[in-house]
Amino acid sequence: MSEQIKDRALIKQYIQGNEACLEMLINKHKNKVFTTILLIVNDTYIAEDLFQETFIKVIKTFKSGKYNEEGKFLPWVVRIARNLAIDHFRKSKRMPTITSQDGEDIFRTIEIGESNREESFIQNQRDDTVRQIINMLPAEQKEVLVLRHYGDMSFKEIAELTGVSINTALGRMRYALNNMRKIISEKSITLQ
Amino acid sequence: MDYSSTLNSLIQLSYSELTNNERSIVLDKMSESDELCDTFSQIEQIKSVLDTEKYSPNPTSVKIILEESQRSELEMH
Repeated sequence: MSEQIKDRALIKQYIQGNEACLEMLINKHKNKVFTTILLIVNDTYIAEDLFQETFIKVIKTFKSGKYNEEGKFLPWVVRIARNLAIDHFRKSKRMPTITSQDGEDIFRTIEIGESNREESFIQNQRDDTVRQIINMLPAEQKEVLVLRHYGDMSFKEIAELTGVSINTALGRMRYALNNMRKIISEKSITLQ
Repeated sequence: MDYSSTLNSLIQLSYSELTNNERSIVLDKMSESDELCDTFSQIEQIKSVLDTEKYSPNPTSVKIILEESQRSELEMH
């Protein structure tokens, strides 16, 4: 049975009143959803709040009968999480970086200079190297990388969500992976 | 297909987003180019680095969600 069909079966049973199916669904996807949110907002506490908000919205959608069974569950949840993250930053006016369709930067919390970024990188290197490298990427590259790799969204879905062509989304991913490789190589980082 | 498109196709190949026909075309190109094979290998290496990055929410967050679900279930009945 494909993962998509398994998810659909769990959702169907949950809507019919089997609460245990929601727990199974959350446990199955929680790490990917949480990692995606954390990499977007770069703050554990905000990520926890947004994670809860995301799934509460998911529950409300299920129970209101508005869930569209077409498409995959995880990318749908990630879209909700991303939108909530954008709303959060709009409300708090701590504008992160990614350029959205309306031209706002979404992901980067504060514009920091290259030297500060480097200091910040070295300081946290031991703690969280991969996350630091991802955060060093230009915002639009980071967004595609996070949504594709952790959020399981297709490049087509990312292109639609961010208002760019699929080739632009792919190009951003290519640069993101290439930049990560360069950073790892330049800083002689040993991973794993 | 220009070089840039071929590189994009390598990314799509890596994420299993090509049709069978597109996949065959890219694999044919790779069989004729060490450079493309190296690039594909680099993509896979970085992806394996990304795979090491996994975070879990606090169990309390999951508990709050499940409680909210049960509460809304009760409200509906």
